[in-house]
Amino acid sequence: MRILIVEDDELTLQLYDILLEDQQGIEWTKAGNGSEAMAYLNQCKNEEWPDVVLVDLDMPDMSGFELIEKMEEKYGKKLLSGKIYILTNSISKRDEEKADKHPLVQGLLSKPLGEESLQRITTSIV
Amino acid sequence: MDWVMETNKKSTKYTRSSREAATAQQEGWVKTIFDGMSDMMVAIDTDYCLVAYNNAYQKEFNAAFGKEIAIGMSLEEAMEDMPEKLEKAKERWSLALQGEDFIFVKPSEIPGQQETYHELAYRCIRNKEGIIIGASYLARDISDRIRAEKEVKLMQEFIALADAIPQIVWTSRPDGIKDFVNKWASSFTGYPKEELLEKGWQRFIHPDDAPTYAYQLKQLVDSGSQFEAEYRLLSKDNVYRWHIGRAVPVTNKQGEVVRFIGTATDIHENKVLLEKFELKVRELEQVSEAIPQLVWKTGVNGNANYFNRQWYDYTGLTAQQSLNDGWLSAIHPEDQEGALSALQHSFSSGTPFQFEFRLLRSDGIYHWFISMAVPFRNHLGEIVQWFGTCTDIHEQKLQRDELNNKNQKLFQINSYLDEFVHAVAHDLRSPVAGLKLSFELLKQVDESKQDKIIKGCEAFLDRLDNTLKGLVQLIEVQEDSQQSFYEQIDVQQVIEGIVLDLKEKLMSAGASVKNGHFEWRTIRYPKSYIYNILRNIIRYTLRFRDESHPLRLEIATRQTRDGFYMIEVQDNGPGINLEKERKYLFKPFSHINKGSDQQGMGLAIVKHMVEKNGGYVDVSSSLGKGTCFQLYLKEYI
Repeated sequence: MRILIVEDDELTLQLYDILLEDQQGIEWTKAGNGSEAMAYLNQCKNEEWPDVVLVDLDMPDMSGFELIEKMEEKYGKKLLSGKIYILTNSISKRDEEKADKHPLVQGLLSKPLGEESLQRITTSIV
Repeated sequence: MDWVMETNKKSTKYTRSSREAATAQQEGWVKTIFDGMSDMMVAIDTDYCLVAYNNAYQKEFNAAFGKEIAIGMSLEEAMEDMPEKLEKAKERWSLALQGEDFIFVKPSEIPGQQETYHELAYRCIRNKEGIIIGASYLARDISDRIRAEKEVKLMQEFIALADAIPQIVWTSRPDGIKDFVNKWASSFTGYPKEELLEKGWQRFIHPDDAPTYAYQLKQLVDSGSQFEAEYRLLSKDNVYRWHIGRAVPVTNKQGEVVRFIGTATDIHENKVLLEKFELKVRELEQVSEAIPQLVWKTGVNGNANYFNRQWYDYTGLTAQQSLNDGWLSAIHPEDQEGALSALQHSFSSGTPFQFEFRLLRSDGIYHWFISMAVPFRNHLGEIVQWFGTCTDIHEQKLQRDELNNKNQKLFQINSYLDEFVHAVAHDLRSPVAGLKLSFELLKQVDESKQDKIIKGCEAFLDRLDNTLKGLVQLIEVQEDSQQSFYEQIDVQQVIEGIVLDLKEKLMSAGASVKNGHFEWRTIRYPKSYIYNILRNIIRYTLRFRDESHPLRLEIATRQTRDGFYMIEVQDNGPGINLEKERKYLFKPFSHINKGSDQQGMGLAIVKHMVEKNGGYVDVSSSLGKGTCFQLYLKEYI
């Protein structure tokens, strides 16, 4: 399973590395912000296309929602439907609703991304 | 008179017989009477020659045509200069010579005496045998009769006119006794004309107005001048109605008054309305003096014509100073223009006026007033005045302003709080989330990775710590504000203190702080504030400096035109992309760079302190060259 992680915090990304290292069959790519994520997707070949996109909501330049919009614009529902998960610190109702309404967002996960959440993701994909 | 002429001799001749003498005497008498008559007499024969005429005729002819006539003269000869008149005369004479007796009326031929009319009675003259031998006429002066006829005609026309109009018309003799009233007079009073004339006019006049009326009438009669008076007349419905009466004399050629003609016109409605209007005005004036507001009045041109006592008491101005446009000087100079244009607008559009302005009190203090004015219309609906009041709203206005201020501040505080809470929450949860994941992983992974994770934990804890430190600092600043103590602070000294304090950090960064041009050196400010403000700025430049070259700071001060004390801190750091970052720069816990280099509270606290008493911050930057912080401080008074 291919995962694209969009997260701006270095420390957190390091932890994700450690977390995912021991998982079977998971390949992951890290993007530090929205632009990096878009750049990566642009050069992706069909086989390299991620199965899961984890998007951190609280990023300075381009927020998680903004990035999702950009991705939808460029790649459309077909390529992204059911694959996007939002990671956030905040448990604001507004964000929850927004996530629910969004057709591309599969789910809202609160940080940190742990074993449990990972399980949920992987099983839903399969 | 039927008599026969047997002689054509002018002079009398005494005959010898007594019978002849008697006849001659009689003839003499006749002749004398004949010549003494004022009526003209003339006779012609069948040849149209004059056979007899009396003195009166001769005189008249002479006066009219300037010619001397003589017995035996033909008409042609007598009237040779007047062919048309001759023609006409011959026409008439020929009628008479045909046996017609008739009367002919004509005005005098004497120039300037056209009002003299004569009635010519033409007859033919027959001899004993009944044959016509001539004709004659006797001319009677009927001028009086003609004049009388004319007068009657005029009078009839006058009466017809007078009876047609819907006003009372009367005429009187020179002594004032009425000799005519028109139909309207009769229908108004309900009495027939004759009775009105007989019983007089006075009884219809309201007792209160009667004396004035009588007096005026007497004036009229005595002086022959005009007359005008307002009085109430009793109508047939037994109601008094206001009338305006006028009379003029009619004089003859000699300037003597021959009669008076007068009218009386019903003005009741107007007068009543006018009285009501005047009463209203008086009432309003009473009210104006009684109420606590300042009251003013202007005419339609905008010139003030009245102020009540309260105005004079408050402003301390005199009437001379206030009236017309003097009042403008009592209005605060900054409010004058607005007030004037609002007034203009109301005057031209007729809509009520309202404006708030400061009014100068007699002791030199300005108070806020609200002025309102409405147009005041007369009984015909035209605007005649503007009535205005000024009410003291000073207290309310100050309160309102303060309320607005407080509301604004509250709003600002709320927004600030919102962002703040949001940011803090994020910055607290984020490291905690990291720590949680770290511990979870620690439990699972083998030792080789544990070090890495533990290092990560330390970093997370640092962040947490910083955030909490910043929070505490903020709280301290808040508390501090309650007991702020300000004094004259020397900025240079403060800078030296900070440099000393941060000596180690500065040294390791190879940094130096230089003093630029100081326009001002001291400011009244809380010491801790100035200290913290400058310290945080310097720390910021330290933290975000360009590590490739040593940090240079230059600090200068400037006094601005609107009274701010400005401190400028210029560095040679990497610069900030202000387009992107300006919004976040002074916000607490904003992320500028990714990762651990959160900027924390530093600049947010600077902004907070500076703005506390009305100052503001600004920043300019040039990427790759440096950033300049400008702190506009307001002195504490």
